[in-house]
Amino acid sequence: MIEVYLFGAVGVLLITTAALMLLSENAVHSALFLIVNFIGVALLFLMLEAPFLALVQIAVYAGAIMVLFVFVIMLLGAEKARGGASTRRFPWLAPLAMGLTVFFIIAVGWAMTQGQIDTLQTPPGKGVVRIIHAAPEDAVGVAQAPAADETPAEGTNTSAVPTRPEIVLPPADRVFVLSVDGDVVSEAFGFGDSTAFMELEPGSHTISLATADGQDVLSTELAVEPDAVLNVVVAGETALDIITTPQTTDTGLTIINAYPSSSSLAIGDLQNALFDDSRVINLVVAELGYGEAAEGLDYPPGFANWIIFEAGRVDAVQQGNTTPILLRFSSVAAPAVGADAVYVLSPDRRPDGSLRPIVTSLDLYAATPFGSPNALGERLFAGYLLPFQLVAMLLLAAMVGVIVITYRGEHVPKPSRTLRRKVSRPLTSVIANQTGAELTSGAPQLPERSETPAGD
Amino acid sequence: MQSLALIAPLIILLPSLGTIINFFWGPKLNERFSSLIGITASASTFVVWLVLFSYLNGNYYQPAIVDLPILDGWIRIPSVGLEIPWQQRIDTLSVTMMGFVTFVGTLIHIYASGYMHGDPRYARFFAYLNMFLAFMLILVSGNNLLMLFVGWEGVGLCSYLLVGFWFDKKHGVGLKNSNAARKAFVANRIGDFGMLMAIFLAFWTFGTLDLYKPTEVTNPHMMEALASGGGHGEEGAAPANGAAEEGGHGEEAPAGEEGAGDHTGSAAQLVSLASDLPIDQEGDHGEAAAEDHGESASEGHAGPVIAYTDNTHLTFSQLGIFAQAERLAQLGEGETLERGDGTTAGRMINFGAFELDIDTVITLITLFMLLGATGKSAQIPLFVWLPDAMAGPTPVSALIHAATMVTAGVYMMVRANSLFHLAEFSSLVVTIIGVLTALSAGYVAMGQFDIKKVLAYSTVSQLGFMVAAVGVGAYGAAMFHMITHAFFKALLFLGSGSVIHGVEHGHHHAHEHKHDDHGHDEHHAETFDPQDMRNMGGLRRKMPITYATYLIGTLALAGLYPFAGFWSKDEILADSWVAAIQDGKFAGFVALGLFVAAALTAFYMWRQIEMVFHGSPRTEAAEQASESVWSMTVPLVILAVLSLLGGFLNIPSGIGLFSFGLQGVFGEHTLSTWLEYSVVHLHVGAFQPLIAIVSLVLAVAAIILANRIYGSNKAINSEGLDPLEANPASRPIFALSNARLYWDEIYGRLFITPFNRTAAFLANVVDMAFLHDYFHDSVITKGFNGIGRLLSHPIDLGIIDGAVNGIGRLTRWISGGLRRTQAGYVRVYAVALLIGVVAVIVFMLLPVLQG
Amino acid sequence: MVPTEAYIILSMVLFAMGAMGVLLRRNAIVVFMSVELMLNSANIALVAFSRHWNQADGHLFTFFVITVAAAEVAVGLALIVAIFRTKQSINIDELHLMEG
Repeated sequence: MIEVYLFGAVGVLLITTAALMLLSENAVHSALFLIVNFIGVALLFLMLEAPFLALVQIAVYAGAIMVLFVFVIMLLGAEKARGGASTRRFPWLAPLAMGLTVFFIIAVGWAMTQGQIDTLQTPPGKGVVRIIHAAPEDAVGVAQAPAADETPAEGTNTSAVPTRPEIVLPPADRVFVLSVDGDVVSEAFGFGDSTAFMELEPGSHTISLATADGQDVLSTELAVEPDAVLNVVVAGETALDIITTPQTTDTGLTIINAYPSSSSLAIGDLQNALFDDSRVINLVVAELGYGEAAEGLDYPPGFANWIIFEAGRVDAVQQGNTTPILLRFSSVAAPAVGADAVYVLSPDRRPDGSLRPIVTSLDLYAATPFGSPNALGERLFAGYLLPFQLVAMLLLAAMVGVIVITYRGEHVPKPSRTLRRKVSRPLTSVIANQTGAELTSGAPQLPERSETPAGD
Repeated sequence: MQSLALIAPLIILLPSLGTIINFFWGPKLNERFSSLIGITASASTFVVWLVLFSYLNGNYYQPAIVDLPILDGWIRIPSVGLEIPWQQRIDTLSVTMMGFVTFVGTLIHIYASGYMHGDPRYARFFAYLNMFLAFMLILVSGNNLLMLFVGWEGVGLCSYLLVGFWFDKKHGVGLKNSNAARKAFVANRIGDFGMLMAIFLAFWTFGTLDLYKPTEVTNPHMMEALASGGGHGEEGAAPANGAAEEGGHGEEAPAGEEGAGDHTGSAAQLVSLASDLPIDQEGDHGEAAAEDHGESASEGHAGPVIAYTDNTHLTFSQLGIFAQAERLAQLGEGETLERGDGTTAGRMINFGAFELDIDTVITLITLFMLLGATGKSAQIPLFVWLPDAMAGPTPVSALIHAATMVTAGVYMMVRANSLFHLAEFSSLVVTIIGVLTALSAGYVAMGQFDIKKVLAYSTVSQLGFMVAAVGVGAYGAAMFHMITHAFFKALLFLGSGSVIHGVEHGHHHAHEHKHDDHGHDEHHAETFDPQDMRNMGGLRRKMPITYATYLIGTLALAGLYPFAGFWSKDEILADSWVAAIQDGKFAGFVALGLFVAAALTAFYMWRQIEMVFHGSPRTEAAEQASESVWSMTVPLVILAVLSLLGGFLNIPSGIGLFSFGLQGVFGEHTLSTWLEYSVVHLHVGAFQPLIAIVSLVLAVAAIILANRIYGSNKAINSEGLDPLEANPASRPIFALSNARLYWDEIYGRLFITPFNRTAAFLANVVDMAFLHDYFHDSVITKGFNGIGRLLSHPIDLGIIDGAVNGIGRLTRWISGGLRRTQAGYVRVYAVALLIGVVAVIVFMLLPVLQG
Repeated sequence: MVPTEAYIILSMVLFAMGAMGVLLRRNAIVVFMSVELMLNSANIALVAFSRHWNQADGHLFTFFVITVAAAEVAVGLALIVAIFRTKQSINIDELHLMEG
């Protein structure tokens, strides 16, 4: 309700200052009223979730432009327009203008009451999808897609796909062509790669992986809900699976397990005991099965000293048994832990053929707020680069134009040149000179040049 | 190794560069530099030739086809599928031609650097000579008829420019020179018409102008090996191959095998290599593979032979014109061939309004080619230009009009041997023309007094030998004679140039001497002809090197053992004999007329020796003559050595006594077996002792006869007459010969006079009187005036002006009303704008306003 | 939450007032200021609709409008200065050289 009152106050302010601007005899007063009016507009922008524009409005309009106005008024000393003899010439002008504006207000106002803008549906927000390749390099493809209805539930969830007939790929073809709905997203999509966040319309989409020569490796349907944020992980040791994990929070740490093993994994924090045998392990994640995701972990940012081990064997590890430990990593070698990020545990093939989990760190999707400079910048440089350039050119042209218009150079007329006529000597005279023959006797001659040039 | 062939474009580019330098900067350079540029350009082509030669030797004589990338597709007309690549074909035939062109060319460049000393257009002369070399090399190395034609026209142009090189000589000589150049040009244009017709016909019939496609195999040895050893049973399938044809030559075949003893080994290797190649060869793929043969030859592992190296796997349109012609000629009545692009080809060639059998078409093509060859190689009926072309500087006569350009026609026919092989009738015509030319030119040469004219007719006669050889199918002999002839005829021309130079020098010397005594005698200077043999005599002692080399050239031309001419001329005669007696060809019998021509050759050449070198000097100029500078004599000596030894290039087998063991050094049939790799229908002739003895006896007899008539200082009697002329019994014979058989007069009566009259009639009556006076004045002028009057008054003034003025008035009336709206006051415009804005908004809101 | 119609109506009223200013005032600078008022009213409408449809494009248009307005003001004021130099007046009714 406060908003409505505020709107009413600002509206009254705007109309009042506009009217005062129009009615002031003194142009300086007009300018000052207009500044107030612009500040009011900036307030409206704030109410309309456009904070950046509000600031621009104050800085550029109320600041720069109006200063220019005031400056010019003062410079010219033209607070009051002189003369007014012609007012009687168009007596119909004022009534006509009034009539038109009133008609305009009535027409638009009537349209506003008739149009019911608010009853129209706002379009659903797009879903955001990212695809991550976390299958070992020698994984082989599966031919058929999983069913589309396996939309995972909140929090930790799984949508691991059952084994499918294999396609044996030659070793060179482990880099896939990734396409979404038939459009190629990445020509070389290899282990550890991830795509950028893609905006997809709500509904069903097809994600497919193919070899470079067009052999289909995997094709799956992906259901995207409005405003959903999905991490799609291509995983699996021998056959390729698709793990789809929705992101529900845009803070904290998300860990996705794409390490294909029958047992679940646990992640423990060794804290500062880097080389201590009697370890006290803080469990970050107690149990995380293949295809599951732990989300929104609140972990303090900074130095980390983690181990990944088989779930349920905390005691053994704490007693110094290193067998269950699959990987140790610290933020000396890995990215700093605890920031808002997505960690994907993906399998790495070791020379002996066994797998071990390695950690791929990715950004967490955080939507930019509506109307913020970020959002505007993204939009500006994604979709409006050409208009942006054009406007820049326009500003440049305006700058040059201003200089040209106000330049008060001396006009020096060019000295008028006497007309010089150049007549090429006819070839006949050359021939005549050399041969002695009289070739030009009968030919028409050019008139002799008179000494005084013709009227210039 | 085959990358060596890639320098082939240089052989054209280098002399072109020399041309450009000498043409544009030549006038600023001194003689030394100009000649250095020219000689370097020429010599560098010879070096390039050496590389190409070694390329062929190192690659089992596999032809290479070299593209010049920047000229790729230099002619492309997509709508008719005409695409002509700029490709040079490096095979044994073209390399043979390039060899003597570059070598003799280089020698003549050196010679010219001395001969042209002091000429005001010295640099330009070298520019032209280099340009000639470039075009000649385009001609011989082009892999399609169009490139051949480009070279053909280019050398014609250079010939024109060089024959008329002294167009500005005083006292009418310049006019004579330029007339000679024009005559050469026009006569060649008539031949070019035939050449063009042949090219058009070939393109219409075969859809391509390529002589051979890059994928094709033209090597008969390889084909032979394939046919006998191939596991695919291709023997019967490809009877068009040279290999299969080879067997039909009866006794030549063993000779071929014997001669090719060392080649069969390499052929076997090549065949085994073919196993490396994938079967589905196509296009460029095949080319690359074909060039690879030489590389992998050393591996030499055996395997099943595939059909690749045979042409049978190639579709029709993947073949050049020759192989296409052979395939078409093999077809039976009503049979068709897949072209490879969906269409078929049969025996009947469609020419729109009518159809011709392929044999007829090939006969036509070859006859048109023959017409082209008669122009370029100076055969009856177009030979008349060559004697006149002697007006050019002597190096030009030697290079262009004796050694190289005039052989282009023969080269072209040898290149097209596949076609001539298929056209019996054309071959007969070729033989007849060759023999007639050889006889008549030999006869005319007997009665000439101009030293270069004699050589010119001799050249015509020798070219007749080569053409006749082509006619009887002795392509190898023709090429052989071409090479030896290039050596000794260049030698003779250069020698005659040396003589002319010496006599002229002597004349100047004598003249200066006189000048001191008797004052200036200009008239004498005008009439003295340094080329007239009557003004010579006894030069043997004055110019010993020239004499010795000239004598060698004469004996070589006369065909005396063991000079070069003996071997080559004998091979032509022997092949003709074989064709006549063993194969029973009519053409062979005709060719036996060449014996007479050979005897005539010996006769007129010895007459020349007697007149020029023997006896005592007949003029002061001859008395005062002196030997030429070293740059002129050195090429003479080199060419003399080659004239002496050139014949051993192609020693026939079975010569017994004649050989003196030289076979061990030079090998037998070296040239023929070498050429066999590119001339499909070449066959290696055996030595015919009878022919050799007969021709030798004839030549010696002719020389003895000439010696009896002209020897012991009787060459010219006191009245300035030839002994034959002086003797009433032989006077008619001599007169007819001296009058050149009245060829020029006949042509004058038959063609030139009617032509001039027609032209005069067209110019004076049709053009001037009818068109200009009558048609222009009465029809065009009056007609235009009438129409103009009609248009100007009623139509222009009445209707058009009325309409235009009316529109103007209307516009003025409307604008008078509208100008009131343009008040010039900003606010009025603003209101107008606002009205528009409100109107647009209301219009856009209409659907909402209506609910 | 204030309905979008309210913003639109406010924007329209301001637009009309700006138009009146352009039409009725004779001081060129005030006319210019009125034009700015009209541009601002259009901006309000754009931003209002942008929020309504949850699309950032309206913001961007506003952004461009402000930029173009800056350019326009610079050039316009330069013109006014130039006119004032020659005419010693900025009364737009005195500028009627183009009267037809």
